[in-house]
Parts: sequence; C-alpha cells; structure tokens
Amino acid sequence: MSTPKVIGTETEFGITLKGVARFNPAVASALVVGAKQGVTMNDWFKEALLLSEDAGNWGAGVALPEGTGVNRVLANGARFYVDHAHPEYATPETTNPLDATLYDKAGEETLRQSSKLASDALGSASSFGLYKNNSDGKGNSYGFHENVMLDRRLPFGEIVRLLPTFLVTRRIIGGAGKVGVENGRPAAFYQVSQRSDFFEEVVGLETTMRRPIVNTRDEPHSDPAYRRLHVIYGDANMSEVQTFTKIGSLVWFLTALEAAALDGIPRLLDPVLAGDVVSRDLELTQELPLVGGGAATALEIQQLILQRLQAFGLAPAGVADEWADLLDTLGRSRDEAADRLDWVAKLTVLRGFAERGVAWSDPKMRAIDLQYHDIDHSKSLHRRLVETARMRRLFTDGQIEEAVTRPPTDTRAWLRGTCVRLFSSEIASASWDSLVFTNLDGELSRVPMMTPHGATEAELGDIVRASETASEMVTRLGGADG
Amino acid sequence: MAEQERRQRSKPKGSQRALENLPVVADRTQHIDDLLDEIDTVLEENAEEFVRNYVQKGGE
Repeated sequence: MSTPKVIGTETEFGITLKGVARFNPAVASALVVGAKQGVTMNDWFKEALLLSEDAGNWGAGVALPEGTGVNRVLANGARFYVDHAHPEYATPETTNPLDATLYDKAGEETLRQSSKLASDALGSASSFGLYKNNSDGKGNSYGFHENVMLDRRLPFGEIVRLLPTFLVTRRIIGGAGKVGVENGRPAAFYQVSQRSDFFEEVVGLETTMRRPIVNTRDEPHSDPAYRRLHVIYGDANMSEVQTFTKIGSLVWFLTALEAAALDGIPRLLDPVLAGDVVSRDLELTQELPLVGGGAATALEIQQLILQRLQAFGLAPAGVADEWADLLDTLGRSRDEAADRLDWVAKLTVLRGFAERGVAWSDPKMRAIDLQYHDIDHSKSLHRRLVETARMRRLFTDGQIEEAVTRPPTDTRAWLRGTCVRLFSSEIASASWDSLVFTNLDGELSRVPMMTPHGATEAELGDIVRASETASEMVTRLGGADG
Repeated sequence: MAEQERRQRSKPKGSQRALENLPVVADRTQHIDDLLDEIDTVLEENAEEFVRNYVQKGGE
C-alpha cells in the first residue's frame, strides 16, 4: 500500500488598511491574527500601526508587546500566525483533496471573522482589507504552498525530473489570473497565473528570491520516514472547484510518481521559460518544446498525464472526473470554464470592461483584479459570481463555517484541535508534531504526534472523551505515541 | 459533480441548435452587462489610490 497522502495548504494573505497609504503591515497582521485572543487596539497599537511612515524595514523594527498572539493554533487544528508582514493560515492535516479544499476555504472564513473583529476595534476611521491572491502588482509576491506527504524512499531526483512539467502545465487549471507583468518578465496585458513571473529556477531551497519550481525544503514535521513535499509553485484560488482539482491532480500525480508509474511522460525542455509561455497563452495554443524533440501544448501535456494516471488508477475521489471535464471544457471552449476557473472568470469580467472602453492599463482593471480576491463578501467580486450562480461551489457557507472550529477526524489535527477546544487552559504549547500540557503543579508533559495520519478520533476518541482534564488524558495515553 | 455538469451543457444538435442559440447569446450579453453594472457599484471608490496603496512586502 502506498504512503497515505496527508495534505495541507498554507496561504499568506495580502493586507491593507483602507484609505491609509503607509502603515506597518506586521502590526496590522498581529491585530488581525490576535483579534480573537483579545489583542485589541490600544494607544500602543495605534502608534505602532501608523509608525512606519518611512518604513524601508517593513515589519522589522517593531517589537510587539509581550503575549501578543501572533502564533495561534485553532480548534480545527490549523495554525494561524504572522509571517513577516502577512497573516498566514496553514490548514490542518487532511487525507483527501476535498477536505483539503474545505479547510483551505475555512482559512478565508477565519480571516474574515478575525479581520471583522480587528476592524471593529479600529472604529469608523478605517478597516482592514484582506486578499487571497499572490502578488501586489509591484514586484512583490507572497505564497500559496501545498504540502503532500511522501515516502522518503522516492528518490528526490525523480521529483525534480518529472514534477516541473506537471506543475507548469497545471497552470491552465490552477491559475488565478493577473493583470500585467512583474519582475522584468515578457510583456502581457493579462496572465493565467499570479505567481509565474516570480519563478526563476527549476530546483532550489529559496522561497523569497530566485524561486524554484521544485522547492527542496525538508522539514517533515513527522517521523523522518516521510517527506513533506513543499510545493510553492501554485496560485491561491478563490474557486472551490479549482482548488479541489489543483490539489487533487497533484496528489494523484505524486501517488503515481511514488509507484514509478510515470516513466515516459512528456518533459519540458525548459520549464522556467515554458512557465512564461503558459501564463501568457490565453488561447491555449502555444507549443512547448519537449526533451527528446517535438513539442506539445500545455493542454495536450495535461491530457497525456491524465491518461497515464487513469491507466494507473488510485485516483482520489472525484478528481478524475473533475480534472477530465475541465480539460475537455478548455479544449472545446475556454470561456465555458468561467464557472470553475478564477483566471477565466476574471478574464471574462475584464474583457467586458475592455469592450466598454476601459484600457487594460487603466487602474480600474488592476482594481478589479485585486478585488476579485477580497475575502470580505460585500466587496469580493468572486463572491458576486458565486452568489449569482455564475461559479460553481462544492460546499455551503454552513459547511465552511463548521470547518473553522471542527478538525478533520482522520489525522493528528483531530487531537490537536480537540485539545485546543477542550483543554486550552492546560496547553503550554502546540506544534505540528507535539502537544505540551501543564498540570496544576506546573509540571509539563509532552504528547508526541509523529505520525500525521495518527492521533485520530478513531484511535483516541474514547480516551479523550473519558477525560475531564488534559492531565487525565495524558495519564490514559500512557505516553503512547499517537 | 462532473456528470451533472455534462448534463447541464448537453445541447440539441444541428439546425435546432442554431435556432436555439440566438436567444441564449442575447441572454449572455445581458447577463454580462448586468454583472459589469453590479461590479461598478461595489468597486473601491478610488481605483487609482486603491491600486497605488496596495503594497505587500515581506512575503514567504
């Protein structure tokens, strides 16, 4: 049996203070992340928030008050924290693409609730704006990362050899769409991808400069028999169907890669250059040179990879149909995919305004691009499309709200989130792979969780439910590794 | 999910399709017009300032 595919995503959100040109984004992020923990606007924050009139050192240079909640573990098992100058949300560990998508959307809801609390504390003068996108249009990018657990016996060289072609061509179903170009890359009025402009290498360790298509970061946060592949190439998506298909196709691809079932699939001759081409190929007709001669379009390569995976089997539930249908739609009539793909939906809106005489260089086009990703339902253009049934959904608002406070049951996120809900006063610290509790005498006890698909409700539900306190639970666990 | 989609999109064939396409196209144009009008009402008031102020350093 192959290694269980434990999956999670990390999203950094863009943050603004409405109507204020210069503010300190690290302080703003701390106010949003800490809002539910009672970090509220006081004189110190008022001053610090507006401190950086001249802040060449964004986020740096301001020491936050002791105890400010900039690193929270939530009742759904997620982590919510300040990463440099952004609020960042990392989903709890999940075992399938549908749950990964649900908890990705729960991240938006978490930000929405927290930013409303933080904005209320600002009074009527201003409010925070939060954006689930990946670029400010001025050469700065912030990440969306997918994490997938792999068997460490899979040689990393195989990942480097075969994954870039999949990731680059996956843009056509994973792109969030962007007006313009950054980072000195070839001209375009509109691109498939928010992130493509920022990738400069095939493989490497960096995430903030000279970004690689395959990132070599090796922090498993688990038993080192597993590798946590950290995929930094993707765009963050608003569309639920798109998030599901993007993650699901990756997970399926990696499952087949582990089984050595992908030999002979097409490989791009120059993945970095191909990334530029794919992101600008709105008509999906550009051929990309392949290793060993010949060329194929991104759509053709995706179809070939899908065929190979269909022959291999083991598709995560729902992924094969959704992916095949998206590729069919793109092959037949791109605009019909506007009900599922952010980049096509956004293009449809922008083209409508262009036909009304708005120039592509007009700030209004860039504003529409940004506002598509606003997580405030009253402002979000994506939300307008969903509410008017122009875009399909996978979940109800109620399901997403529930996922804000309820962990997945089939990974260690269940124990983490359940302990946050039941025993928060006894938690000394919580991380991905352990929980540390303090008892009444101030003694610490540590519960390791080295198996990402362990410490589940099925394994530990009876023990946790029978315990009145964390101390009782720890005694019952008997120090066993969940 | 996908099956439902395909059913929704299955269209009549041949000349029947040509006839039925006319009102659909008009309908679509109307829909996009309604959508653009609606978007105009929720767009940030000062697009230029909004875009200029949107600066995000220190990512990843």
